[in-house]
Amino acid sequence: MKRALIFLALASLSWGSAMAFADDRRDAILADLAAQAVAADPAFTAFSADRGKAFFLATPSSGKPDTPSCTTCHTKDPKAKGQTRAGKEILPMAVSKTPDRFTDAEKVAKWFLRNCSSVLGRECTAAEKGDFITNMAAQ
Amino acid sequence: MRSLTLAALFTGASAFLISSAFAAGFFHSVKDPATKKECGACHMVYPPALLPARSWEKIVGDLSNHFGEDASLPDPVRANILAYLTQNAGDSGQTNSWFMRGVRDNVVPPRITEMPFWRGIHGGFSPASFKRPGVKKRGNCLGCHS
Ligand code: HEC
Repeated sequence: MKRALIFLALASLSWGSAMAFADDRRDAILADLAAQAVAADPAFTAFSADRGKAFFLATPSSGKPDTPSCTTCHTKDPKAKGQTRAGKEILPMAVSKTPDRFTDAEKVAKWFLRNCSSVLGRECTAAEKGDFITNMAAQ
Repeated sequence: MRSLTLAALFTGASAFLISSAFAAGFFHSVKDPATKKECGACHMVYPPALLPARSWEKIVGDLSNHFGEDASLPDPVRANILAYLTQNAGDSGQTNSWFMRGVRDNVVPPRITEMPFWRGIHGGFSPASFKRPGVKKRGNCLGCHS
């Protein structure tokens, strides 16, 4: 019993610190994007979850025909699982569902580059990326 | 009647393929970590022997237009994956050249489902059999072969 309690305490501690660590790494990525956003537009103040949500749901029709929107693969519900066009499962984008989302800077950069090109036909701005992550982190 | 024959043919064939140890092992045979990770992020990891090296060069050389998507990769990773794929391609001499049967020298097959061997084996199936819920696309080998 006592052992089990100690184990539980330790497990929740390490779970808690793993989450905090993930949050730190996401914050660092956001801070980097904020610096880029200010450099691009000195009037930039803060990322917005609302703008991020609108961006996620939009259908810009400037990209490739088979990928009209972020929701083509990620679905309209950030808490739901998505699917690639080839049918492979994608874990939810919402950080509450997939806690290690947006914590690996290289991974984040790779997918923004590809998916913005597929859906918008251009790179996303730092502000768009920061808004997107801010919205998913709030979900 | 015709659809009955086709259905019988299909059930028979899939029973054969599902029980085939060859299929199960073969479709999971890629061990190269970068290839598994990057290609496997979106679709099944196709064994490189299914295409000639020139097809892999074309595909991995134009990842920003990858079957309707931008799948671009930073260069050291892209080059490593291309090296693995071409070194183990169907015409690399290290693998079963059976997959290369009927491929003309001046043709660069754009995808596995356009290889003569693939069409030869799968020619009898109706388009609908590839649209079944667990299959959905011709390129989803594991929809039937697992
Ligand atoms: C063609 C399918 C597809 C479309 C369209 C798509 N994505 Fe994704 N996205 C994926 C896949 C596949 C992954 C990687 C799998 C995973 O991380 O679970 C991914 C991952 C990401 C990641 C990295 C997540 C992380 O954990 O770091 C970001 C950021 C992202 N997508 C943003 C977007 C945005 C923004 C759009 C719209 C402009 C979009 N995606 C449209 C398929 C898509």
